[in-house]
Amino acid sequence: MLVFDNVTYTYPNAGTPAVRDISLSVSAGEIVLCTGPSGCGKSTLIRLANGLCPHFFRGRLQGRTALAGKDTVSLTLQDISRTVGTLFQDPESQFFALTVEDELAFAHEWRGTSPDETLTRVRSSAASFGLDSIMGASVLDLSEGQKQKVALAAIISLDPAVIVLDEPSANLDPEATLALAAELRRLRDAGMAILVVDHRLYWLDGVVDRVVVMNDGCIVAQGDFDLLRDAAFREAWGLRSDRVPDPRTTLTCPANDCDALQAQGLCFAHKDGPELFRDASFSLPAGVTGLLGPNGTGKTTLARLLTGLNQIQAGKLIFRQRQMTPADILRRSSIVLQNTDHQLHMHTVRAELALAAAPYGAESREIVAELLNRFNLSALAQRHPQSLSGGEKQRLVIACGMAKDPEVLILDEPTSGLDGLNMNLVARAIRDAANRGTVVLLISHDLELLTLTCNAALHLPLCGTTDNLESTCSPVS
Amino acid sequence: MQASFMNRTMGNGLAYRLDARAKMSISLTASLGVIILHSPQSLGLLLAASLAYGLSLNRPKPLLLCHAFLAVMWSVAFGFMHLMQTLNPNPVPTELSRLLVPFLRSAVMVNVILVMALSTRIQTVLTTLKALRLHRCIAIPAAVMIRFIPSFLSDVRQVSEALKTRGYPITPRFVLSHPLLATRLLIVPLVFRALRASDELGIAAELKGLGNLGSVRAFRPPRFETRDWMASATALACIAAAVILQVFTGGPRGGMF
Amino acid sequence: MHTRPASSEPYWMVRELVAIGVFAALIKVSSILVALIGGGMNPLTLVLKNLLFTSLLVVLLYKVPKPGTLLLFNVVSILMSMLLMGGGFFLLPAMLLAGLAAEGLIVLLGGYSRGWTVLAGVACYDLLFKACSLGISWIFVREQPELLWISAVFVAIGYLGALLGLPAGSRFVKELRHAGIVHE
Repeated sequence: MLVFDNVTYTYPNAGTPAVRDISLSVSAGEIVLCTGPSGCGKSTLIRLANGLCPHFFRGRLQGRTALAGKDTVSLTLQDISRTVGTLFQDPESQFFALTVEDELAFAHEWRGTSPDETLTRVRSSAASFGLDSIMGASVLDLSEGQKQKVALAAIISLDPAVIVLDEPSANLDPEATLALAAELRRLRDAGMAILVVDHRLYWLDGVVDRVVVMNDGCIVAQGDFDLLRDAAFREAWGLRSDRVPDPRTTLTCPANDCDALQAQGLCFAHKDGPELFRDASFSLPAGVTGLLGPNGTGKTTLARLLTGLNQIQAGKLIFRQRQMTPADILRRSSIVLQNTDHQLHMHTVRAELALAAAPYGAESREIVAELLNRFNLSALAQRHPQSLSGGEKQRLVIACGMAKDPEVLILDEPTSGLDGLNMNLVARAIRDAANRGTVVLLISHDLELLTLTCNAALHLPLCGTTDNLESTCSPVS
Repeated sequence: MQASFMNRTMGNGLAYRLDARAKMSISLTASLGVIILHSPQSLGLLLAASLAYGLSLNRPKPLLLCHAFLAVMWSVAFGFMHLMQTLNPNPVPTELSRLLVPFLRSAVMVNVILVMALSTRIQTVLTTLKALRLHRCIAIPAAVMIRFIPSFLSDVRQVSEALKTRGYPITPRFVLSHPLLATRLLIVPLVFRALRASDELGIAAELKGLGNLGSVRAFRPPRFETRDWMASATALACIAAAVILQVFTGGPRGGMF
Repeated sequence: MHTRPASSEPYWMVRELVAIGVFAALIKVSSILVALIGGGMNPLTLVLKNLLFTSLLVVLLYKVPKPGTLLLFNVVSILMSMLLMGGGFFLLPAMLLAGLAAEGLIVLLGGYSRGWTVLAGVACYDLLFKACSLGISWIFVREQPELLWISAVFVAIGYLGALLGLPAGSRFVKELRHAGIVHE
């Protein structure tokens, strides 16, 4: 169904090809995984499959990419779109409408499909993906897993024969990832040809039929999933682990500590929303504590409460044995948010760090130099922060967070979309902070990151008195 | 984090049940009316009608606030005008009706615009847009604009919160004392986000095969109900009554009229 | 070696229409933001609002350097005002007039390939539009035309901000090139 025949592609104004001599095929009823370190050419492979290269990005193409026997060069993007559906890493970036129903209908409406036919397809895809109960919901209000489903449903409703998925698990929690795996198996069994590009490997064990490993634009290995079980092989190519134990079942409550950040009797509920915290008490000592729990249990809200971004409705905060307000805690803490683009403002990496270090006045130059060195950013000092890769941006925002030498560091999903090498770099930075005595609170769905960094975990939801602290802290089985 | 006004609880007044096109036609009628009319009595009638329309929102507080603001603005304007008259060596005597008429025009427009702004959910704007069956070169950017206004508002909130955690709270005092820095801190992330979003959505549009099409076929086109026709007709009737009243009462002349 | 096949393409590529829509949303939101933070009639926020308007417009015209972009952007913005707020009907002719004149000026001066012609076009557009808006304001206050002087002061302050936005926009495009987001 999808065939790459000795394909070499060079982007415009690029000196070297992004991919070289790629020969690969994906048949109907087959799932193929393509993986490799950042910059290996995986994204270019997707763009060749869906026709963006060369139709959108132009560039120079040698060899042949064929869809159902037809050369993609001889087809228009519109023709290709009838055969290939593409799911982006961030599904929200491909939403045109504001409600689920409108999003499912959008492409049909704009293609001039009759209203009756559109309605039929919308209802069918909604039923297929279990979206009936959220048809009127805003797409901006959905969880990442729900957004993924809506995007996939919208694509499938257009009846493509091939689907390409670009890092589909990047923003998903483990449960949503497993649900996606089940969905892919179902689509494969229905005869679809599926190409998956991803850094995370564990969820595709038992799902994919073949694995292709790329590096520096070339295929370096092909085989079945067993190819990835060799740890030396994975390390050589900067891949993530093929099997990841679930630390959520083994991480226990953090031990209480005189210097810990403690909350006592915390209460909070969103306006018109359910009660998230009722008389909750917990302790966060120095070290890395994971904040775990299903969607909607208040992980991000807790981080916001600790730093005053949301107001505590009752309860108190104690840090290093002194009662403090959230504003006091905020002065002593840094938060690294999930979206790096929201946290980059300046024209160079050095200026960005200087902005973060500004409160330190005359010593800020030394602080900036030290951070550039510690986070391996010295070579990038004059680069524009927005020109950095995902992993580099993540290191930069963490470095900015460390500029004020915080006593509390909160990180929200710091490794979504990162390859093995960059994930390990971020993990090391987090452990270094913890080793300096910082209280680190980590919100993450990345099981590998949790395994590498966490000493303990706080399991949400949290409702109960201090007497019940033991029971609310029991690990999820 | 989501844009709060997406989930705004909507009221149950007549204004919420009217089709957006009916409300637009009322706005257009009111706009034409305030331009044609120039007597305080006829504009007063229009003001009364528009106030009743505004009260159909069942939200008197924003209405009151807007009118209070309008009154303050006009008071300031009249104050400046009085100052100018004082400084003028040959002052022109001013009639109250001349001062009142522009104020009445603004008040009518405030009522009408407020109804539209407070009773329109952004999701329904997309539905209305599709019903207008505009050419793709207008409809696509318009639809995209609707899609991204809530997203950018949410981004603004997230960027502000990120800055607050870094020690740069975006408050009026900070903006007024460091306008350039505040602009860079807030706007630069938004611009980069806009550029990336535009590239990604542009690619998504191509991949969905939207590259070379005509106009859209809405699968749930909004229908003009009886109440929409009645509301539009009532607006026209009010204008007609106001025009008749003007013919009988006359009014101050201004400019070329 | 394969090259992209020749095919008839519409004048507006869908990615260009998307870019216009995204920037229209951004400009609208930035205007709301300035008004919310600093108030609507504060001279500093008037300057800032107009500065942002023209600088972001300059960025858009670099992103989509094509005759008609300015005009289309304005039509879409006014359409949204009508749909969201029910206002702006009488600004449409003013906007079209100003847009056409500005587009014509850009073409006369050498087209969108030259940076300074874009700046001249945006300056011309804003001046014409503000002048026409004052004309429309006159219709509203014709019984007491002296009130127009007050509007004129605010418009003048706003235009000052608009002019400041031109070099700001140009500088910002340079930064975007440095970031690799836009290309020559």
